[in-house]
Amino acid sequence: MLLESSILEDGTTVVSLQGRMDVSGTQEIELPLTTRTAISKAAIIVDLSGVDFLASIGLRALVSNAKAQELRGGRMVLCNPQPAVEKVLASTGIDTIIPVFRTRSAAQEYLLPVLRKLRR
Amino acid sequence: MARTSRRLRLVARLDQVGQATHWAMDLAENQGLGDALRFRIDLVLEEALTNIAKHAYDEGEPGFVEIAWQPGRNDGVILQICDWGHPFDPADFMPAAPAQDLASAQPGGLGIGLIRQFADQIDYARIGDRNRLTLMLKPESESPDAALPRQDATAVPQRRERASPSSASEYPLDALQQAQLLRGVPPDRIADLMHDCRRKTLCSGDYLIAQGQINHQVYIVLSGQLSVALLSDGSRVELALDAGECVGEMSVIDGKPASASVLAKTDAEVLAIPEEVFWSRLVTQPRVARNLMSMMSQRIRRQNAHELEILEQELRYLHLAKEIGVAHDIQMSMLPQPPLLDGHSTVDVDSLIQTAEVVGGDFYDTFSLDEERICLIVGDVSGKGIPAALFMMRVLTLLRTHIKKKRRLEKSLFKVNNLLRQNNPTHMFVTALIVVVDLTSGRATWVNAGHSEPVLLRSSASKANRVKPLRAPKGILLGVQANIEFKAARVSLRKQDTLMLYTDGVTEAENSTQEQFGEERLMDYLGSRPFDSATDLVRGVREQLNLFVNGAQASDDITLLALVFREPKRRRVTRRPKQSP
Repeated sequence: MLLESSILEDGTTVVSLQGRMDVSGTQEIELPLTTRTAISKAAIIVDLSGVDFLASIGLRALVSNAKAQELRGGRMVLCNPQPAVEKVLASTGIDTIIPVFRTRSAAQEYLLPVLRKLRR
Repeated sequence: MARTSRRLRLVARLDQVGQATHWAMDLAENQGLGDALRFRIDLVLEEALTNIAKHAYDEGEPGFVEIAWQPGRNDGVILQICDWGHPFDPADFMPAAPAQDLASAQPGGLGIGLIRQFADQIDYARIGDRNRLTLMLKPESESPDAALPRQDATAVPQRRERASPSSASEYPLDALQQAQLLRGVPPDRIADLMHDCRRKTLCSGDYLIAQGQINHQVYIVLSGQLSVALLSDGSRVELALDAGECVGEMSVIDGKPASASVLAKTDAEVLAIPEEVFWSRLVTQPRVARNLMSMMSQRIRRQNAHELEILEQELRYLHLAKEIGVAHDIQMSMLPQPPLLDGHSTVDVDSLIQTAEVVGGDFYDTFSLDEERICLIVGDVSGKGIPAALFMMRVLTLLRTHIKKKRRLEKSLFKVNNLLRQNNPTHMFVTALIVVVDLTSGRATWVNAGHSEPVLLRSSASKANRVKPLRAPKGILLGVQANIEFKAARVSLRKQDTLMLYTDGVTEAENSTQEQFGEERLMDYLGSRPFDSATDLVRGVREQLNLFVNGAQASDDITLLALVFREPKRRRVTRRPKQSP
């Protein structure tokens, strides 16, 4: 799997994932994903547009990082899932505990209050 | 070439899961399954195997997992996943209720739930010492793949013409100006030229021209996409035609039936130019004639490039087929040829090997350690194809070299196992049964490395006790874990006793109803009549197997190796000179 991250002008961190989030794929990005999403308090968008397969091991990585970020006082959300991946998120109920957006701009808008809180 | 095997056996370990899903996706593609179904197969297999890799076996004692693929009804699939680990019924597993919020969410534990949601039917059975999970998946009826009509170039052309009459004012000048054939022709000329042409709309899947049909029209694609499908030698070549391109001119030019079928790939609109108009008003325009010639030469170039590509592919295929043939020859030449152990007149040995694929994983070996001791080996290497053949050669060489060193058999195996672990990046492994027979005493010493147990046929025992599998500590397979201590077992062979070694392809041979031959049937047959030679025995077993499978395609190699202990060998006595008292 590939992982790319950048920080937007408003301070939101965007982590883009690419590839199969199966056992081997998830292992490849587990460490960099955690360092970018769970180590320090931030507003994070994980862009899933390049993820074409998502298994339970991948869900586990997303949930544990989102949870860690929440405990730090920030928030991690997901955006742009492919239809099949969206189905996996929905059928496991993960989309009810981690917000999922169709577009990156919708995710950014949702994170605005979090960013304001972080700046204070 | 061999078909992709529909059965896969792996070590149940997380790093092997990808290999299995990859294998399944290849089969799904071969079967022409749609994206949505493929995703679901990928997911349930990934989850089932992850679960087995994590929980089925105790840590440090990896076992197997075996997956069988079967095409189900209505383009569905049945996956059967077996492991020999702790009993586990997914129905007993209660997935945690979805968490209310992130703070109370537990990462993990989602796998079984995913299997339940993405498989259409789940069946679990504990059969003897194995878990068998059967997952059935059907295509979703609402999936876009299922909704697409099947296109078949040999089908009867159907026509749904609409809006045929048209007046000059309806000519889509914009689209026509872009057409290859009319490039550079002034718009007013085009309108004039197009007098007496018709517009025609097509729905996706409609035929415009069927291969072999007589055609008197040249068509210009105005919108949408058409596809030219050419059937020759059973293969199908498809070319896309986009707006602006033209079709039908070939049969109009040479007056022969259409060389290919043309059908609408999307909803589309074309302009039909009748033959007379084409000849009298179009080709007479120098600009159009030039466009036509340049189109033709482009087409010839494209065709040449395509043929070159096909030729290259064929050469590559031939090369590969030859390579596989060579691997098979090398592999077979590594195995000793009958008569086996010819120099030892007190034993009679024969073998039989039947490979399911061109390059299989089974092997056997027979050799002498010295004048009094001989060694017999039967084994099965994981995987198929050239990598398995190369690994097998390594196994054979290592076993021969180290067993001939005459240290204790257990020690030799300890060493071979550690050597096989090295430089083995793809985690190949091998099961083997190794027997050393002392021809003077009749003592047979054997080690079982994850293989089927050998069978002993006692010549002297009562009929009920004549045939027995030799149960003994079953060691772990070779090449998986380092520093394994193997245990040897011993049995004494008496006059006319027979020892038979075999691979699991024998007991797991299936007939057309997926019933296995099984150990019981094998034992029953071996006890049913006396065998007067090793050859008689291996041929007899093969006949029984052939009767049982009754023409069903073998999914695994079959290997048999039999030894009849005719009589103990006389020890050569070296006389010492008599000493005077």
